[in-house]
Amino acid sequence: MIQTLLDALSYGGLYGLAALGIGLVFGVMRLVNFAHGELIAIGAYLMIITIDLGLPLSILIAVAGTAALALLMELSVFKRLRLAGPSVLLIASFGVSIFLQRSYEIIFGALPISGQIAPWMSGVIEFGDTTITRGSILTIILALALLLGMRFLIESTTLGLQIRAASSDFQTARLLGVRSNYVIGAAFVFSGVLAAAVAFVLVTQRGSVDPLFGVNITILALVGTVIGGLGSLQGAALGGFAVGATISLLNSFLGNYRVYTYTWLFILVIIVLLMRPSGLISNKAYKERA
Amino acid sequence: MKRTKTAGILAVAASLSLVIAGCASTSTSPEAPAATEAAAPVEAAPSEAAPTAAAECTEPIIIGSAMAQTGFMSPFDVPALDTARIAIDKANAEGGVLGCQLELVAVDGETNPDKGAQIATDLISQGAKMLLVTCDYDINAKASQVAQDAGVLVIAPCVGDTIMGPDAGLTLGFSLGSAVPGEAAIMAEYAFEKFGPNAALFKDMSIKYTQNQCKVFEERWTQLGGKVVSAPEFSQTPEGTLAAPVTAQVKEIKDSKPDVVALCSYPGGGAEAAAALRAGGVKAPVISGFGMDGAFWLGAVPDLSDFYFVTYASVFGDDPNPKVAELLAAYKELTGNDAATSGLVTGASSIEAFKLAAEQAGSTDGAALAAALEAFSEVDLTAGPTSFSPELHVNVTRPMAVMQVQKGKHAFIEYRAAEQPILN
Repeated sequence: MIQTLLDALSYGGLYGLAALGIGLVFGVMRLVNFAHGELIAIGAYLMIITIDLGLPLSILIAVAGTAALALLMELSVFKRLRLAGPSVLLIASFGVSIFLQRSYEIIFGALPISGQIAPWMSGVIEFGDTTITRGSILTIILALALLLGMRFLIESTTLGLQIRAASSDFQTARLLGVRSNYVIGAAFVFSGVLAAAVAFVLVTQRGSVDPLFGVNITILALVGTVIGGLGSLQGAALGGFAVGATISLLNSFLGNYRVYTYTWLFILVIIVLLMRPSGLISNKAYKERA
Repeated sequence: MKRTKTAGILAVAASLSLVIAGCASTSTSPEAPAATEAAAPVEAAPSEAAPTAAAECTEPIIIGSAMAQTGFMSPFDVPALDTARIAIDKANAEGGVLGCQLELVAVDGETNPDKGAQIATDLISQGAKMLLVTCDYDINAKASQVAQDAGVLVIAPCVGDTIMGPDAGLTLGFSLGSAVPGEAAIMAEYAFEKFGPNAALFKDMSIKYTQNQCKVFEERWTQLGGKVVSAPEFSQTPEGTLAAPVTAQVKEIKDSKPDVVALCSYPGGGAEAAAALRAGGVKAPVISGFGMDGAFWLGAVPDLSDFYFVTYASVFGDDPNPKVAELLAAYKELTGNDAATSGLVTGASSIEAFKLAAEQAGSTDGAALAAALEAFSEVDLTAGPTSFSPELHVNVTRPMAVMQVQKGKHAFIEYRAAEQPILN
């Protein structure tokens, strides 16, 4: 039971980080960034490729590289579409996603690339009859630290204030002097940093990376941002956590019916949306950017 | 109004998500080694348009490929296509087929059934005499049907499901793979002999290949007098990762105290499952199939030990079959890479089989080639002794390599054929 709860917390924390990364960008520019999965993938590729330089340097390179790619996406594609409607942005992000997947296939190959990033994260810790996996504890600690760090950044810094203002009401924030390009660029960079953190946890679990590495978690994290409440950063993190934790718990409690885990997950998602169409934490001041 | 606009975006996003989440799922297959005799000659009337040894060849014989060079089947298809290329070069150096040179025209099927069908139509209109299709029946079905309707031989090099052939109405469809009825029977027979009577099944329900693998294993295991002590299930996402943690399943297996665990899966979720077994304290030997061939996924399980799998051949430099060693060397020369898995031997064997069949039939007509292939009995190809029959167009009795992993190192143990393949 303890391991079940720890699994739920670690899975939830991981999905919460991914959802927050997506929610940050959606908040400031109403972009559902499907290419977030490819940010996660590049983080994993960079870690595996540079691990011989030592873990700290490898992580540093991965974080920098992922943040740089996120910023590059913004500058080369999305910045040019500022006046386009949200649907165009959505389709553009799909294009970026497929472009990057194919690029990874060409550069790194279609086969997974294998590597051990942090072998110390595998294994179990035993307390009498109870055994818990080391990876789940470390994931919880990492997710908690990053979520608290992001909370501090969002709530206690000037940049965070600007991001919150832009998420709440982009038009008004601009009128009040918030520099839109700066805030959007910052949101992409933070989104990239969070993607690198997700990549670290995933790549230590899986031990390999392939071009579709980040697709699944991105889709589910997107569901999390929707049920958490679009436009709300807290909602995104909460929604992502709820999705991850629910998957984990359903898998434990459904027993031989666990093949229906995703069926039940989406039934619950529909119920939540029927009861709270604006999500768990709705953004009252939420307005469309013109 | 603005809310409506947002709702629209969400609807589009949700629809796209579901489309992505719903796409794909698949399988692959097996095959292997050893040696034998030549196929019996087959009577077949050369078609009018087909080249014959006697006729002077005016144009090359086109081998079309709609195999996947991108998408999730590409890790299986690309190496097989590369070895097909090697075998074509070798055949051409030896004088070609029926006096004609072979020419490969390969178009990327993109792991897309509809794209595969379009490519098949196009290649056949260009005059292709044989079509290579992707190593999964679910993906290649439409392309195969196009070839069948046009009377052209179609080979999926490494499909491991017996459906590739008459069961699917494909009288001209063959696979050079070794199918699950043999592969999983070998898994059961080897594990029963070496490890004991109590097996836990760790069943990946994502694709037909792994579902059938555990089904055949279980049937053969109980035939042998073994007992299945637990059989938890898990699944992977279409992108190949665990759909959810498997901690609960691993505990169930551990509590059932098995002598051996049969892991019916493929990487990456299969690798994560193997890691979870060891991390969860399951120390029993694990046996698996072709799906877990290769070393590319070992990063998920540091110093993996007591892991066994049944596959086509060893790509780790210790395979006793000289044809395999020769092919692996040629593959490295062509691509600059070591082979990731041994499924690649089926690509070369597809061309070898085509050449033999064409020479025996004296024709490249689809029906004549199929008749020649159906007469194959223990024919010595790189993939091993190969047999077909009018009912079965994929191998189930071919010997396969049993491999062992100790402390992260692979070693060849033996070639063995199923004593009793389990055909439904």
